[in-house]
Amino acid sequence: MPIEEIRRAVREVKEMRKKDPAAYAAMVKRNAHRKIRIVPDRG
Amino acid sequence: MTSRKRSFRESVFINCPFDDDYEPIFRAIVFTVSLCGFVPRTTLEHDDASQVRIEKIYRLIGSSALGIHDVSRTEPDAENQLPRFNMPLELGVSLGAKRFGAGKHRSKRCLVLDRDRYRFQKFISDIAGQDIKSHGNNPETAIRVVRDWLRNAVDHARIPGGSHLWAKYRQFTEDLTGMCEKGQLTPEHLTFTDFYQFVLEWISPVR
Repeated sequence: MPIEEIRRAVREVKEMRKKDPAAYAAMVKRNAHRKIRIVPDRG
Repeated sequence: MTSRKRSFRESVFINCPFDDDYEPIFRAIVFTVSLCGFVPRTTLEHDDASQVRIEKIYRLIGSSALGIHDVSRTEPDAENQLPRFNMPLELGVSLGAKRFGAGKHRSKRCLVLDRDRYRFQKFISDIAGQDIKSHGNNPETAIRVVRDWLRNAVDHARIPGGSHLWAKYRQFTEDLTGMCEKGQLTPEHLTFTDFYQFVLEWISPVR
């Protein structure tokens, strides 16, 4: 994934946590069932 | 681009199981190594697909001054009813590089992790005398153990305390699935490089 996209995603979540706690809490709740699994890089 | 130079002195080879049960500890170790200013190196990282796996391991060990070796996965696997020997093998390669290698390889440092403190004596007693710690299958304990080892292994000014690291890691973990959502990435198939870039960006000062 392009680094600019990673950077944007990190910035948006951090800003949401600070500026809109309700939306942040909803996002965390919405994703609570997701399970992180790290896989080998492709290529 | 956020990246870190993979210098020998700051590279930390992480030799551990890659299964669902170990996943929380693996993420905690990668986060801790990164936040302490080092570069986590693992066989999950991108490489030439045609490269023989053991050659990739030799290259990673050869280019890392530090190594974290988890030997906790000793149970037979469900499919073959045999234990995995890869982690002890890679620990042996690291110890051999330090013992028989020349120059910088003599300065290698290894941390051996197991789930209980003295359990290793029952199955790999020859490593007695190494730096062996237990994480109790607990990410918080893993963070503190790895942090303390890095602090003692090198004189590095950027290493924060264990409580600070744990608090940061908990926040990062809470943010991570949201960051995947924003980036349209599937958390269940997050490549190592994407995860590492999330870590690096998240711990970087606000741009």
